[in-house]
Amino acid sequence: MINPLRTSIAVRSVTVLLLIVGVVGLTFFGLSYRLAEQQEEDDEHTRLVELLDTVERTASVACFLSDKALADEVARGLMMNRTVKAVAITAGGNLLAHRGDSIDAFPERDRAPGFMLVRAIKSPFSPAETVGEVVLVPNAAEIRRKVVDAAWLTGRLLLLQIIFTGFGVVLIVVTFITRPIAAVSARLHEMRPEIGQKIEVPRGNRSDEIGQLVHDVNSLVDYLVNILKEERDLHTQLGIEERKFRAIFEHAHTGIFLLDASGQLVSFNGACGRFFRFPDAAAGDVALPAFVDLVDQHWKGAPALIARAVAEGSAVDQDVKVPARPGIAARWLNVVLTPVEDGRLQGVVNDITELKRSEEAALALAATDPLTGLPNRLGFDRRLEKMIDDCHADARQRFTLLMVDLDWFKQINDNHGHQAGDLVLVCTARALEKAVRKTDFVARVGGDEFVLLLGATHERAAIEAVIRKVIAGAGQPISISPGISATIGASVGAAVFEGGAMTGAQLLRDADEAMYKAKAAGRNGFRFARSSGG
Amino acid sequence: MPRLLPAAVACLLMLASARAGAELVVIANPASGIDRLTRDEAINIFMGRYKKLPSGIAALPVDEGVEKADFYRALVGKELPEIQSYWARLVFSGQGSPPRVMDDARQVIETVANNKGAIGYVDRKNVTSRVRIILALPP
Repeated sequence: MINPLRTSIAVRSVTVLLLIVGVVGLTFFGLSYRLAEQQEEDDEHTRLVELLDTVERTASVACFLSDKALADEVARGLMMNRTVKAVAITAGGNLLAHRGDSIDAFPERDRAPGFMLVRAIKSPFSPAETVGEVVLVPNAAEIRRKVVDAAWLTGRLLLLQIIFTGFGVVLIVVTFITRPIAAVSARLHEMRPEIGQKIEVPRGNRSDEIGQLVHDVNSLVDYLVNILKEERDLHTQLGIEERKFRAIFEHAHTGIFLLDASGQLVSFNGACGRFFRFPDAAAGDVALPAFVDLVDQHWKGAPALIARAVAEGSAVDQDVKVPARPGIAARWLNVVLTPVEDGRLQGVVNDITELKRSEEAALALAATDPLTGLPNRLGFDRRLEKMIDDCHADARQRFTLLMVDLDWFKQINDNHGHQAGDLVLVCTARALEKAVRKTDFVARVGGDEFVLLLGATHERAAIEAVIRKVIAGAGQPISISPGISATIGASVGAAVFEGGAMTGAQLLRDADEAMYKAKAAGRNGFRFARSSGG
Repeated sequence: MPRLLPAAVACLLMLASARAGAELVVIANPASGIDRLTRDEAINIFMGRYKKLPSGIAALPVDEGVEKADFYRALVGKELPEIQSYWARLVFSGQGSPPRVMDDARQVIETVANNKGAIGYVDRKNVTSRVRIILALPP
């Protein structure tokens, strides 16, 4: 229910004003009634006293002469007045005249000294001599009636004045204050400032405070509308910019992501999702899981890299291989993590698969002998190093290095040309590969020098068997041109890696030494290095 | 001539003092039974309050036309119109009448001498042996 007392200034002010008028009116009515009552009572008393003054001389004569007729005349005259209830005139103790009820019959209240009038009558010829007295009982009811009449008249006039004044004030307040304010309020309520509407100044208030108020409100509205418009324009501009950047972010070929301090994924772009193969569910912006959980299956090193970035406080990077999956090729990614403000980490991911591939190709190329397709000296060094590392990791591991030097190769080169020499080398390489297991390693480390690494082989018998197969393979005749074949030989030095403090260079030197000894002892022979169980 | 002026002044002063010094006395019949009368008794009798003399004889007060004003002025301190208004009230109520008025002192003395209850007033110098002074009213 709508209470107009709460919602309407006019109703409220009128109600309050009427209340005030009512209270003030009643209070003043009561006061004026009391005052008028008092005044009227005093007036009545004065009137009665004056009445007695008027008849005093005659009463004096009547008392002086004890003239009953004259005294009765006086009493009758007094009784003409309606406010006189009873009169008694006595002279020297004798009742001269009596009108109205017996004095003694009146109640005590009417005979009170302040109410009943008793006038001592002096002799007309000697003021010192009292010759009688006049007793006058006022008519209480009549006086009361007159008093009430007079007080009512005064009170009603006052009440009427207050009521008229009150209504006047209400009228003024409603006309000059509340109505214009209500009008302004209603217009303000319905105003639509965005289409340029303004409040109209109420008629007659153009240059007063209400006019000023309306003017100020209009100015304020103008100001706010302008600010809002600017804000909106700015917002639109920002939106366009943001969409632009968003598009760049989303369509970049570089993966970009942002982690909060707890490692939670805050945002990432499409490239990032593709690189790390995020499930589609993670594409939404809600409840993104922890980054390390998302990439765990491809990249176990993520927590370590994050920890390093946080610890160093600067950009760190790592190459990550995302393994192949059915239908998806393996990819290499370069991840750069940069700490940004608030403990956040910004990640940039680039696909470096092509780079890695060409790098690997270059590496392989560098470690390969272009003529025979076998690993070259560089490839051999790497392999040797790795095998020694493996042996260090597992003390039971052994392997054997065979140094193979071709016999009579120089002559073929000299007699038949380099092309024939190259052909011999290629054929020998194939023969050596054939002579060993697939898991063994064959490399060409010099012009006519080959090295074989035999994994998990260290017993002399087994080694000798392999050596004989190698020598036999190398000794096969080779057709170098139609109708011409060449045969070469091979001298082999063997050295077994026994673990311990032995280095690869030492092992190589031992094998080399053993090979020279074999060569010195005649071609197609072999020797074991002295350290290799001789 | 210069000797005449003091004499004339003295003569005038004597006249004035004689007039001002005229002393009124209340007189009564020697057989009235009263030797003296108080001032209040005189007032009560002349203003009609008492109908009898203190001795019990019916009182008959009389006025004297010439001295009347002086007499009431001396007795009750009132002028004649007031006295007349006083009697007018009583006449209206029918309760009494003012004293009869004599023409001169001789007639007053005659009336008092011939009536036992009569009392009147005259200048002291007109008093005869036929009446008795019962109250003197010094001016």
